[in-house]
Amino acid sequence: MSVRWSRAASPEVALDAIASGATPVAGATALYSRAFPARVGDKATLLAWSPAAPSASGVDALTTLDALGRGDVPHAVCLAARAAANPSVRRLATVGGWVSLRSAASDIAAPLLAVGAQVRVLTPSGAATLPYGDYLRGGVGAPHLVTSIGFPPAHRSTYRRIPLRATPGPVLLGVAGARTDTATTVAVTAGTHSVVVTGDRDIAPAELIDRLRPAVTRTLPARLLTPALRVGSAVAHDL
Amino acid sequence: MISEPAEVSRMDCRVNGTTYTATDSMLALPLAEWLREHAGTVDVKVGCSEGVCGACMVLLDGVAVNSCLVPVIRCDGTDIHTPADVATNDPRGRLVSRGLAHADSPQCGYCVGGILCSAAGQRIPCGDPADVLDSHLCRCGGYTRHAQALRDAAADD
Repeated sequence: MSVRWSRAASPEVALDAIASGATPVAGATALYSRAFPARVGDKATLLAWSPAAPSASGVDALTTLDALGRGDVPHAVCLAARAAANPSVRRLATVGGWVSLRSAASDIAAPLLAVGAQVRVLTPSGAATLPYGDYLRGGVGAPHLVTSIGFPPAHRSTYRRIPLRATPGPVLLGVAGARTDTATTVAVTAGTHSVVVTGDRDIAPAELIDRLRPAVTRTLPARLLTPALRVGSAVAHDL
Repeated sequence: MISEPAEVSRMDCRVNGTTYTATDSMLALPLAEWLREHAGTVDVKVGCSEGVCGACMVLLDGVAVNSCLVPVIRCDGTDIHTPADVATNDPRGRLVSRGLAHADSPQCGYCVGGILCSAAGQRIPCGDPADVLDSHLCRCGGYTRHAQALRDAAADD
């Protein structure tokens, strides 16, 4: 494999390289994994700047999942970071790479949907911010670089997951919930599917599940309906 | 004004105290492969090659990482320690190595080097010392003895 490497010391420089056809490499955990197609062509750029420490309001894209799991971030996000992959992968993998996969099958999808996270990206026309749900559905075209994730204030949030290794199709069912000053949100993700339902701040768990039931029935494969509602109910009661 | 990304054509790092250089086509190799083929440290074992089994674990600037997932280019300026060096020269590694031997823990031994590096790189010694096994697969199923050895070593630390 012959690759021309460059080192980008800032997001702007990295975007310049990406626009010229280079593949961004940060944690690099997807680079050699057989779970993903080969992602590096003949040009690659190493993202090499120091990330700021995670905070309650946001996290830099180059933060590792290990640092995210120990950071002062919404609890649901923290739980997801601690549940993903294994400890050694979490010490390498970065938040930006995780989010850039745009996969509802990952642990991070449900928590980011539930807390209403904002994805900050850098594009050739400048910086932009969009809701994670829009980003997940392909809201930004190439070339772009995820620079950070912003978290709106949430009083409580939580995350639960069910690994579904014995089933064909989606192998992870993720359910997250968040309660803010004005609203309560539950998000369910599995495979390529995602469902988000919202109610008033003081909505009863049973009522929230009543809203969740038709949405997951419409969206998720039938075999995931019972586990999704069971875990959804647990999450609603946790909030 | 945006500067051009700096082209990189070589990487220098220290492996078990000796300086090595990688150039051009080596930069995209997985670190595990480069360590075995070019640095001669065959104590680094390769299992799954995708970050699951933990057999290839090394200490990269003191942090235990799966060397099968790290491209060589990421190691510029770093200090790398492989299992044989950790077992000999790292105080914690020596304790864990002795603990594993005392517990008669290794069977085929393929996973043990990685476990040794994980234990030596455990930065915050809280909770169960055997939690490092979360990053490792032992095909012989020797987890009970590994766990006991790690707990004994932590108690002696």
